[in-house]
Amino acid sequence: MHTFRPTTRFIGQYFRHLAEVGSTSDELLLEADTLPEGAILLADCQNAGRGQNGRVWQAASGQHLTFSLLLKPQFLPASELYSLNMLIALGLVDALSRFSQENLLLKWPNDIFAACRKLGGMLIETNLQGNYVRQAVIGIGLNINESMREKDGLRAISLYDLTGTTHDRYQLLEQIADCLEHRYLTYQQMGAGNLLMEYQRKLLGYQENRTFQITDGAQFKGMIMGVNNAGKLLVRHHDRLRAYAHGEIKMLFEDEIAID
Amino acid sequence: MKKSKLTQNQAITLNELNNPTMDIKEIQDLIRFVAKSGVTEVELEKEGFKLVIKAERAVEQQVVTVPAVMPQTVQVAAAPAPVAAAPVPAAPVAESPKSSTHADEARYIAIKSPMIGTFYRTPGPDKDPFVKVGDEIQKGQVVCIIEAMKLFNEIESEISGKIVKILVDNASPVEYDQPLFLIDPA
Repeated sequence: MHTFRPTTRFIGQYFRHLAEVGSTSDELLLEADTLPEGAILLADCQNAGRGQNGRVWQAASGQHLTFSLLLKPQFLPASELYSLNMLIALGLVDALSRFSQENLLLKWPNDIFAACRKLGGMLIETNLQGNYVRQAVIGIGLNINESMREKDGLRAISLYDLTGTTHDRYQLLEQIADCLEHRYLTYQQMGAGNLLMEYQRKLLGYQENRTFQITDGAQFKGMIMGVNNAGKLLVRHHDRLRAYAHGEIKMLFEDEIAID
Repeated sequence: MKKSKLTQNQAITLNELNNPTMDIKEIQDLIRFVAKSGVTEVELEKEGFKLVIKAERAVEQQVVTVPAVMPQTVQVAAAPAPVAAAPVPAAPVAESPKSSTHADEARYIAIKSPMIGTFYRTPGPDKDPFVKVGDEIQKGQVVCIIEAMKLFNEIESEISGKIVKILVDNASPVEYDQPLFLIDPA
């Protein structure tokens, strides 16, 4: 079996692979003060992993990639933390694109989609003191070797579904470490640059007519015009542009749209 | 406290100062200029004419009595200039009732939001709040979460002290630099 040997400077250089853990992010948070930046904790099975809206991430043991990464982005002002979300998401797309030809898109704010289905997601937790980011723990879950397309009730897909073959998870994680580090160091050295533009270009539904649902249940047609400098989704409805925070708006898929 | 006198030379650069008999509008403009500049007192003297403009709310007073313009805790001494520059003319006085000049409240320090996002007092939907009014907190203790773009940021206090007031409701949006808590420092 392939051993885990990332060719990076620091991401993944500290690495631990556990069979089972409550949540890799919780575990990493406990040790964040003593672990080096770039530490990765991989688990075959997380029984309290955090999924969307607090839902527990159900991962078949050893089939997928569920891991957490520790960063200490002390160069990043807290007000620009949304950039971290964007650069990690783009880094994951960079890495997965080395394995699949499929057009991978980002569903605002933090999911990776392929063929209109969810391939993976991420959740970042940070600790701030004033404007200073002490640490950021990035929890990542990617569907890899188990077919997800046929699962009822899940709008999910796996890398196996996209490529027709299984993948060595260590090899995959090495590429992810490489791409994340490249994105991270580029940001650190050059600043945001085209990050927002790149993120928007990959945004699912960007500049397309889509149906949205807001908190009170009302549905309307609109168009995603981008993401603003607070990470809010900009949606144009008739001639009005509004910024929505996470939880205030949901983009609907065909089967979720109410019939008029 | 900043105190400066405009010399004749400086005054020449300002149109409104050239004429010794200033009309109301010119004086208003000058007051606006003084407010923006951040100085607290300006004296202008020419032949047969003397004008003194004093900004009553001195820098130090603002810092300790008006929560809305309080800099982030330890930065008080380090960055007085931007504080004085912005809020002089129509500072958000609404948030500082007259009683706030009371000696006790003068000591309070605000924990402010480092980013735009949504303010959460609890670590999860059915969990207890991180802190309550009256709690003694330690430096580094988590007091709330600010969420933006599903990025969950635990905000740690930069000082030790007692929570005097919680200024924002749970799950409401907050702006950059908005005061969240008032702390009576230990």
